[in-house]
Amino acid sequence: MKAKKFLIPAVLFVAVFCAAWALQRYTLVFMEATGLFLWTPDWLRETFSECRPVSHFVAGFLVQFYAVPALGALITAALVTLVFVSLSTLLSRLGLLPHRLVAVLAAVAVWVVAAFQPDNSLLVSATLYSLAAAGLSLLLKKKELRERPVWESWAAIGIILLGGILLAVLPKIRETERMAQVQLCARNGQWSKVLKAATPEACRKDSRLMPYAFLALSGEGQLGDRLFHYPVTGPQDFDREGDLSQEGYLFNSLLYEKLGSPNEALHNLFQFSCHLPHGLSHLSLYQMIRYNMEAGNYTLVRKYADILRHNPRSSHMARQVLDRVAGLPDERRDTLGHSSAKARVFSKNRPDFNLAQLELSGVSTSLGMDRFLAYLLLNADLPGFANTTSRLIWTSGKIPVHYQEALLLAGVDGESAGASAQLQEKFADFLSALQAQDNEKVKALTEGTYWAYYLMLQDRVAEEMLGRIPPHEDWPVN
Amino acid sequence: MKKTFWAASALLAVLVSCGGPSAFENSGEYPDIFPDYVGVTVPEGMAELRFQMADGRAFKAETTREGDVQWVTVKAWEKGARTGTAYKPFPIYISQDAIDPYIAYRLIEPGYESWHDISICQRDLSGFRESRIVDNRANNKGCINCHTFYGGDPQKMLFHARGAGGGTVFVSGDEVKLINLAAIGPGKQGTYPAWHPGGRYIAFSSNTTRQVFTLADDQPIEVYDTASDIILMDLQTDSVYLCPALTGEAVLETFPAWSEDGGTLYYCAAENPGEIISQRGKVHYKLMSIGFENGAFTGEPQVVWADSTGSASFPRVRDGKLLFTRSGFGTFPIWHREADLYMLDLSGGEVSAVEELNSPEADSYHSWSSNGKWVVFSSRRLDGRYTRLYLAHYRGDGHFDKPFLLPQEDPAENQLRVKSYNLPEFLTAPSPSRQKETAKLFAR
Repeated sequence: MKAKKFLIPAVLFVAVFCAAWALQRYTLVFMEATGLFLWTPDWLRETFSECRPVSHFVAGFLVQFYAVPALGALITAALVTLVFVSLSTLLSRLGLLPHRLVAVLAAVAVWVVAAFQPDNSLLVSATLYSLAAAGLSLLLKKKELRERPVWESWAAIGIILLGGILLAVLPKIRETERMAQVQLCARNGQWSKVLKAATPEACRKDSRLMPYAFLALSGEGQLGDRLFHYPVTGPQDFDREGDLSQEGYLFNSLLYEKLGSPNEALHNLFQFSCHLPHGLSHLSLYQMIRYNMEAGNYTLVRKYADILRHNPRSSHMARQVLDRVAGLPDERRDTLGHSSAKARVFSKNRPDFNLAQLELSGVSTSLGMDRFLAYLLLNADLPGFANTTSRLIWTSGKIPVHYQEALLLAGVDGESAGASAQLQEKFADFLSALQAQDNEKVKALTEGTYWAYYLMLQDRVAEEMLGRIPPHEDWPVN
Repeated sequence: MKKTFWAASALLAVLVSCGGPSAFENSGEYPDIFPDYVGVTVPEGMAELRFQMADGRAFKAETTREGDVQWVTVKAWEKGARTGTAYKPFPIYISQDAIDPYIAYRLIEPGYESWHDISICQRDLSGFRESRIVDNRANNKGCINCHTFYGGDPQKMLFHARGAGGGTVFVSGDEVKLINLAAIGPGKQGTYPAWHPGGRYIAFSSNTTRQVFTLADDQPIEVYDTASDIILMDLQTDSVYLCPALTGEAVLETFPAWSEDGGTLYYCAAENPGEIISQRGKVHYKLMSIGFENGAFTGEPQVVWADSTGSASFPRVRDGKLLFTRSGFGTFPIWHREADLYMLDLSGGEVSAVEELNSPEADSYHSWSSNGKWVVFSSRRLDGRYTRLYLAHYRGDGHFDKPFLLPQEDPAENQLRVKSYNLPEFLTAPSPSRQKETAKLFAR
């Protein structure tokens, strides 16, 4: 009898834990990244000036533990189970039947709806309200309830399973999970995981994944071989410059970190943080520490680590950082503003311009070169591309395939382009098919190549010239 | 019984550790404390200067007062150590020169293009209470800036509230109104204001401000004006005028400030090089002045100070002394580490750096107290990015006593707060909250 009483909450707990751990682990970690809990006067003041201060406080406190997916899943499971137990108590006290079934339905509904939210505040609020209602209901006289029929337990388990299935199939939840996975893996430099999630097919459904995929391709040294396997339609798909959303700024902070510009990484990180409820998050603090460390600005490293020390989960890590930078003088050089007066390298909302500016200031990375070549291709600047690549030495000993395709298109001879006999033959076939206006053959021969992108661009320019589509000012097609 | 013993032992251990060691070695040095309050001068009745050991050690402090000097004896020790260090008592000098009871400032993240939370706050200098006068929830998260009070009177203030339907909010007693300055007169928006001592006029600079971000430089941001003029508002008629001598594309005029008698307007001006960003190292703002009489500017602008290697901002005049910020170039010194406070003697024309106030980081915006005995100024000396407020006593003859950081209830808050303090201004009385009235202006 007693075991039976615990059957539904136990199944619910296990099901929610497994689903959260298997299906939402990155979403939970990302919640921690964008959440904030600090035991500081400002954080407490801001939290308690919100309209639901207790809920905000508890949600903030719990979210810090989501950094460990198993803990996040455990907390989620505990909260959903608490909702169920509280509602079940409430309904039984009110004498509403079948109280367990209704309670499990409500708890599963809260679970699924909360999965759509960017943070845990809805789940925490629902739990606190349920607990409060259950607490109040204890004042009521306990009612004698009839024996629960067996079908009720089975129905409850069915509802729980349905909740799990919904989490596994609802597109919005899957998209959120995939995006979180890509963002987190990219930040950790786990490029193969990024590419596994951000496949060309996935990018067709969700173009937000593409900039991460291209960053990962660079990380894996495959950008020049696989860029045009993706549904890229122009430079705007390549990065998120000019994208003023939270996601756009987060990507750009990562991009500029990898490009070796802590200034721009911090700039975009500050912009990202402005979108957050406290104007700051755990991730912001971690990254501010990292970027300032790279910039040699140890005073600010100490400041942010000191703040992070007031986060219970990160306190130990923050202390380690403080020990590491103790007594280190800043590496900033310009105390008189003289070099600042001469600095010529300013960022614009144009990634290719920014790359060139970084190069001018002596910040050179293979990622930067990779992306610079990609911009030349995406802007169809074939002479510029041929000119630039002629001065490069390919450390791999082989020119990437898309570069070979572009060079052939630019009129570079096959041998100089590093093209295999097979590719040269394919290019000749492509040109013949093009002359013969054999569209089917052209399509078959160019699929996944730079040639297809180039043709698409030419078509678009023609459409623009005919006035069928509005002109695109950023495409200086030669 | 056993439980009681352990509980008593634990309590004893706590008490012993709280009290610190019983033996102390005397040190002939002052303690290294944060904030550095050793030898500072504070006004009578100032909030307690709370501090901690800079290296985080446990400590206890005892204070004794001898006349106008408060002696602070600090004993510090490592947690768990049997001996500690007793430092040489340090003085805090107490000045009988009165200070205005409140200061107002803006709190904002030192960000780039966007912001999260902006508030204009006030702080009671005799305690730690901070309250909001208005914040940007009132104008739907738009920017609010450039708060200015008429002679430090909280009943007469203005601030800009930007965003959709924005403009300048004027407060006079209980009346709060919103005026879009660009919609009246010559069509120019107001930026940096200066309230005429007579109360009727306000000089505004009208700036077209831009900013750029460096990809690889120690100074991350450069803010500059591509155009700026000075306009005059008559509060009696709610009208705005241009002065030909203070407008035009060739010269950038900004940062107006009145002399105490209202007969002179001081401001900063630089030749507009056209393409500013590439030429910005050569943009040096001079200190200028022009006469003012019966609601009109008189005479020709005069150069008060010019330096081909420096640029002036924020002139503030008191008792024949003009305090200003000098940076290497440009018009936005808070992002310039070299920015320092300078004093110009208006009678003799001598200019000198106010060494007592300056630091290796940016020292920038400043205000005089209503009696001219104190200044409050903003500085980034703590960490190079988050602006904090310092107060300093003016000794006279262009010299100040050692400034002190605005004390906080918990000294750690000076580090933990992730907002900058902007535009500190003294207040002669507390300001009521203007939140509801401002929100109503934007709810229409």
